[in-house]
Amino acid sequence: MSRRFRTRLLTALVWACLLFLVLPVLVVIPVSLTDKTYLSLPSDGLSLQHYRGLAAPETGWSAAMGKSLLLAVCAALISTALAASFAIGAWVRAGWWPSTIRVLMLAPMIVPPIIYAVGMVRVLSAMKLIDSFPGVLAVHVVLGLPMALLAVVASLSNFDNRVVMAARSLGAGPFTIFGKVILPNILPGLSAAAFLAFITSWDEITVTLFITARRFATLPRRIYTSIADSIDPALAAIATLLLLATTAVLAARLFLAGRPDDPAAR
Amino acid sequence: MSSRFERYALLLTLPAGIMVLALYALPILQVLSLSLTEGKGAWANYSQLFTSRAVAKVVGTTLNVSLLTTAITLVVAYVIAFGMIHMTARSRRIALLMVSIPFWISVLVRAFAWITILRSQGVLNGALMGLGVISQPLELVYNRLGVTIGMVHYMVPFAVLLLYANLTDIDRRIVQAARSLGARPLTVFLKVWLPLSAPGLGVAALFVLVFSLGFLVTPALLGGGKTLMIAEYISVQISTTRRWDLATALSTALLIVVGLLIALALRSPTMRAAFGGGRR
Amino acid sequence: MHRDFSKDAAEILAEKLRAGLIDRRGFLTALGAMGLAVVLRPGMAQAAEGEVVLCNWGGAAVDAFQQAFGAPFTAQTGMKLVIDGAGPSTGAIRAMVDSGNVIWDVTDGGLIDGMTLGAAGFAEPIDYAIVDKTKVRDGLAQEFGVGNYTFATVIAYQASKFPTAPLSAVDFFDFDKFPGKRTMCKWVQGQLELALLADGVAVADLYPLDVDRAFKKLEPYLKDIIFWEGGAGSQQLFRDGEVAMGFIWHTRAKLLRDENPDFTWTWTNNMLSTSAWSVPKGNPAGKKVFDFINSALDPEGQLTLLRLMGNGPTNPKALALMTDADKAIDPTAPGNTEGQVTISQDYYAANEAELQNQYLDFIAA
Repeated sequence: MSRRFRTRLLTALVWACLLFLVLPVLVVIPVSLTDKTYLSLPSDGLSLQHYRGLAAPETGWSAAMGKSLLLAVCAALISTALAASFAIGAWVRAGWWPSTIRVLMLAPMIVPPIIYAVGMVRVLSAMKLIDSFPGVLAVHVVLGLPMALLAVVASLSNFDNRVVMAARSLGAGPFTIFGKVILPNILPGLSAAAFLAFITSWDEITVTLFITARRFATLPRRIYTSIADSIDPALAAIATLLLLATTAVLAARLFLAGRPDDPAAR
Repeated sequence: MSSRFERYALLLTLPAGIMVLALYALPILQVLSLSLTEGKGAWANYSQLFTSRAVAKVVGTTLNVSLLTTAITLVVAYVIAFGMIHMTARSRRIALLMVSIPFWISVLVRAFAWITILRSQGVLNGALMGLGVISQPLELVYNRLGVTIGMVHYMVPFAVLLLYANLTDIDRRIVQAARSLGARPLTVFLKVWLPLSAPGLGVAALFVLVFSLGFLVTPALLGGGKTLMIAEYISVQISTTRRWDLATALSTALLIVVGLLIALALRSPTMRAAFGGGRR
Repeated sequence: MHRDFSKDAAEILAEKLRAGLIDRRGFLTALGAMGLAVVLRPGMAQAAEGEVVLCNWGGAAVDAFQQAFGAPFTAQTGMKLVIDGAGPSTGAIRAMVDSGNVIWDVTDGGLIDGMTLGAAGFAEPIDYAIVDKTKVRDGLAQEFGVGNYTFATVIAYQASKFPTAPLSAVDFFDFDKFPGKRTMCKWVQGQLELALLADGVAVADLYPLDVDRAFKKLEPYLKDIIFWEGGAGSQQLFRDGEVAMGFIWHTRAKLLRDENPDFTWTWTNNMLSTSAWSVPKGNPAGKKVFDFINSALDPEGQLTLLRLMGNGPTNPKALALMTDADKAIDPTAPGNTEGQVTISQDYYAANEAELQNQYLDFIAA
């Protein structure tokens, strides 16, 4: 087996794995064009009815998407800020407190969300925040924290402590070190953190269902209440739109920026 | 002895710490403490976890599916991440795009997409039968296989991101040194890449395993009712059967066992380093 | 009918816009008080004066309930009916009552659920001074729930897959004569009864259930049964051609038949369930909710619901108002009750949790 052949084989394997991630998701495109009112591949013809349904205000899809977007953006920003602050602090000063909190932060991944849902109904009721934006936001921030923390920490673990020592020996104060030395170096981690926290909020249903009623309907909640009838192809239409938007944004970056900014390319 | 610098560092950990304690730990402890008072009392609630055959079966299924998912996910994700660091910058961007695409699609929609593909008259069986590879549709979904496929697909993007972050960090000069010393590619991979990526693999494994253990939507939809995992079992006990005694006791046990496992894993220096347990 | 739906949709829209404004203000408040999440808009989750909040299982039922029960109620009392489609699972009700902040006035759940919730102290007793007991059939006016509609789980099938039509529970488990996968429900009510009927137990002798015998009958077929969790899922299994026969709600069987006449069902050996209005303990509208419940038991509204969704009336007076088309989809209409099993309220109120867990354990591979 020649070296060249082996390299090609390996490359093919890599792209095959990547296709495994993307191809199944692409099924949503034909499904979104189905002429039926339920989730199916189009059989007798294509239809844009499910896209029209998304746009029509009385279906509540666009309102729910707007709310989810606002919520997810806020939750992502707050989660990331909290996670970054925590991760930097814990990185500098290890000890029982940061270690405990770190394990505790992973708890939302372990304990089924329904338990948290029951708990938050009580807490938010006591604070009169049931079915309100701040209430849902608080929950989504907490649920986004483990993801955000993981991303920041992954980035921090690559960061050389000698830089900090050098800065300190040059007399830099804590604010300079945290803000001007550490923070800029973990920017990629921060954007990954924000992304993961955003997605967590965007997709959260179990707890949201318990702590909202009729005033604050997020997109997953809208999906959940529509699924009672049939699995609405509008879901596929939403997925397709997100797919196109993501691809467009990233493709634009691909062709406009194209600067080799990651270390492996150096 | 702590310097001003370290005191500030401690201060930085407070907002998230307080938030998690007040808005996570407190609410769930309130609920989990029901495991001591609900039903026939603490002893009965916890002893049923050990005596119930049903609980043992659910735990077994969950472990089985989660471990399998973790193993497959790590292999697939490593292939992708390893490939990505060897790509040109442009290919890598396309690859990153492909990794991030599934994130945007709701977990519910992803499960339905898999059903569309895997069901007996679905895309895959249709294609295979059209090509004459098989004559009878394969049973790919509404069973444990379907659950595993769906879960792996959900977990791989996370694992790729974690592994990629770690692999880009590996000093390529070590690899070049090994090569220049005449090491064969397989040797370079086994003796250089793999050991150096152990922390990344460890963190990814821990993450995927923990995440899989608590997974709800995918097993419920792709399992056809026959793959009952812990998260779904607990949800049913809360929502439907109102066996809150069982649900809270099982959740508490789960939290303690998995929490201990994580704490144990974090004792290993490599894991602690990868998980940001302190300065290097 | 379509115009009514649109009008209803416009009302929902108005509600949503109002909600949108509230959310934005709430958001600003939150930004102003970041980290000090106290005393933000106290009482926001409380129902407004002059409205009753109903929780049902969402989807088309939101509009249908509004049309069948909301419109007449508003006409009679001037009060508004607000519907939340979040699904009043017994767990959600308990969580809400425990928290001391109850949002729902009336829930649409199984009569048996109402009874167990009431026994555990999470429901208000129905005030039969206001609610007229004679509006429902015997046995449907319970202390903690009053029957609002009936539905049946029926044997549905794809006609073209078999040379002859399956006729009963025995045929359901006859995989030689009727080959193809089956679907049954993940929730236990009625499932073991079907197996026992197929095994030769008479309808009158079903309760208390011989659970071991039912499991023994089901066991050989488990690999060919897919278990559905919600109505939409059961319908999708038929549409996808995954199953040839299934034990599903008659409302879903009707939707399938409307879509494609190849799907149909037999009423023989159907399992009759009753749903009920229940009131969570400490409901916001207080006694006014019973005016709603009383109004919603009128035969006209129940008939509207039958026509929109296929849910059978509980008011005996409704039968006289029915057309033949109505009767064809009402599980309690004469002619549809051959070999019918009425799900035992008392048996399940006492045993359901235990039985459900046994069943889940049994079907898990």
